[in-house]
Amino acid sequence: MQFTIAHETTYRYAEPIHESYTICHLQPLSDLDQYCTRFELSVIPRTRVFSYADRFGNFVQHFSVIPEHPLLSIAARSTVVTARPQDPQAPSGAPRKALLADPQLRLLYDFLSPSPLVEFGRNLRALSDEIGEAESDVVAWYLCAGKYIKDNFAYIKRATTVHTTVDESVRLRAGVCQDFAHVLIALCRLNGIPARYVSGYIFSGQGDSVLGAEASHAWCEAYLPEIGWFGYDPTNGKIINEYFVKIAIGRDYRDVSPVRGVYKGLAKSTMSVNVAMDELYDVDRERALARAFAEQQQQQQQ
Amino acid sequence: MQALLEGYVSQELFDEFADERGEPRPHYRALARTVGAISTSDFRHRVEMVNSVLLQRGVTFTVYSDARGTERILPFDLLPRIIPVADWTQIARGIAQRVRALNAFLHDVYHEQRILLEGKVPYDLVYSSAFFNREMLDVRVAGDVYIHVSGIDLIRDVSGRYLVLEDNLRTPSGISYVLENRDVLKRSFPQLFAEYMPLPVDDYPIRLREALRRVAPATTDDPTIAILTPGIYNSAYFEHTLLARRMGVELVEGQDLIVHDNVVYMRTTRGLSRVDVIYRRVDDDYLDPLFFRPDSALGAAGLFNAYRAGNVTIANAVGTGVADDKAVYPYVPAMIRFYLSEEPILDNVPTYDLGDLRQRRHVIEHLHELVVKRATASGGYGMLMGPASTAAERAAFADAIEANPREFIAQPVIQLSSHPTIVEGEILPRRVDLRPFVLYGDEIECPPAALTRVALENGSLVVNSSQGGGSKDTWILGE
Repeated sequence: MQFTIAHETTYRYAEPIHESYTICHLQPLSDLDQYCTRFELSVIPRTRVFSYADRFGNFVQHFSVIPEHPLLSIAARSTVVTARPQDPQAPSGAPRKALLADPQLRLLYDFLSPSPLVEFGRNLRALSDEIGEAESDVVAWYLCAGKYIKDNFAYIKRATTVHTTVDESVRLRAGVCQDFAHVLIALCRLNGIPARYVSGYIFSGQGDSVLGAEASHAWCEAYLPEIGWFGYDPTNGKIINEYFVKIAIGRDYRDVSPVRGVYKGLAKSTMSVNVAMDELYDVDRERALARAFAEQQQQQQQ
Repeated sequence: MQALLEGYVSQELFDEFADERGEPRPHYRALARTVGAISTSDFRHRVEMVNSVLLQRGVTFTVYSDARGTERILPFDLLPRIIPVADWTQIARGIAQRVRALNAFLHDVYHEQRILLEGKVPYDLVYSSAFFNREMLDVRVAGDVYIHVSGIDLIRDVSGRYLVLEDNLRTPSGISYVLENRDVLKRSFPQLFAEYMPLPVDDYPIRLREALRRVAPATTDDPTIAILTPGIYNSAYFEHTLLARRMGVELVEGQDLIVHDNVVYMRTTRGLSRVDVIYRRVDDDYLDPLFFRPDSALGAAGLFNAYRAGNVTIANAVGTGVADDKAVYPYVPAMIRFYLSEEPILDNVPTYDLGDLRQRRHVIEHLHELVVKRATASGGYGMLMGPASTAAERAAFADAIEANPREFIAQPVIQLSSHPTIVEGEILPRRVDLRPFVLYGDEIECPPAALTRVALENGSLVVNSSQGGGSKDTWILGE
């Protein structure tokens, strides 16, 4: 699949602010399963945009605006080709022994430990007991834990904020995609399975209705024996397929928040976010298919 | 004064001044003669004079728990500590070796992580350190130098052997006392000073400035250096102003800096002026609200990205604390072997690994004879001195250790060496340590500038200035 994504974030301030510094995680990753063919970031007021690759391999953009400004608008446009299957199958199971035997495991300290937004609280431990242990089959346990969140947690906006802890959303049995991803990550880490946070997009035009498409989305990747990093979306109860686009990976939301920054000024800000994701009608591919079809027809006529 | 010195009896320790027979060691003989020749009243007069000079000059050190107010002079002891050339040669080689290995360790843990992959230092130990700064992973620093200024704390055991007690690799303070103590002592004992001719310390600020110039970004031939201070409420503010003045560089606070397009500027009366090297005396957490503590106003937003881009050098580098985490300290000898293929010149104090169940049991059963320190604390805060502790204190530490063994280390009590010290008009033995400072620009150098701290209470083993210790001028002798 090929998508174009327009992701616009606008901050409006009651009084002009100054000396604003902004960091963005908005450029989709290129890896084995997807390729970002185009990325542009435009900022109002105009300023120079700098970028670097962070320690996770994410592409980060950042900029500063010194003079007073009443508004800050960040528009990211990207084109991404995804190469995952449309309907990926659950991989075959593997016992925990296989995970413990993996020499990579000890290098994944950061994905096995609590992180600022993923802590192991009382409610989380109770939830983990409810789901059961991951001894005999780590893969089945992971998919089951993800499905459990899908089935037992309510998707409610404004039930939580970006600061809500894992334990709090477990208690509420509610939240949004970010919370669900954190809960699944916390469950994995608590059970000794490395897990990381993925921010990205989900395409809503895939037939059945999906949650989380109107803004940026988030899910979990767990490190499974003999498989490696494997993505699951606990908000929609889906294995990551060709309709998902990855932006960035991190320990939790705080490592990869799409836009964050600081400024000087006392004015209150209001933020609006708009994400538009479209399947790109590939003219060249369609023409090639049409040509091949025409040639086939001609050959049959001859 | 003769009487006072004759009554000097050292305890069951190594004494810097007197040998086993109570005679002055060769390098202290001239001092003994001079002090012996001064009348008691003249001597007391000199002590009073020195204290009033220090107070006038504003040599102060804030003690956070001192209810009498935040400004207090660091008690200065008039009797200098003297280090013969043979000792200094060994010390300088030993601390240079240590800093070279620690710097290599920092570069390694923030890049290839060879020492972790080869299992010489546990991976979890580094990643669980509160000072392991993940933002520094894959960030190149100028000249691969992380530890531009360090203070290595040395003590001597009962046999007189020098041991490394702590490496201070973040923002070690104390050099202002070295400079001030020397100024004062030179005037109090001009003849004695002329007789000994200790190596000079006054060029330290210039040597520091030159070391910092050599690690400036390649974009400039004539770098602008600034000292970043947290401000007047910081305990070492006096030192920051003194260094800025003697180095001839700007002293700035966070609010004086502004970053734009990845370049750091300072606001001056003539507009913005580019800054190339920041000698910061602000902790990592406060450097940039965008990456570290969001509520900090002590640093500058955007500073870390300018640093990452190589447009400014920060000294010491961000993230050096992982190498002076006390739980990492036991591995420094292994680092010396791993990176330098050398044997350590100076030994560590034996340290228990509290992550190991058997050692932890042993420590908890023997708390009354051990020293327990918090792995990430400094300045003598949050430690347990076993022999001087109460049962309740030991019980509290035992619980805290069980709850979080990674946060603590334990060591046997080392009997620090003693040195004649003036206590209420008498000369008595008091425990001392030694903090030499190491500079690292393009080369590692050990200026003959070291701070001797002295525990003023009888029997006390805690010399930290923040715990009421005093200081002595330290005379390092040349060839």
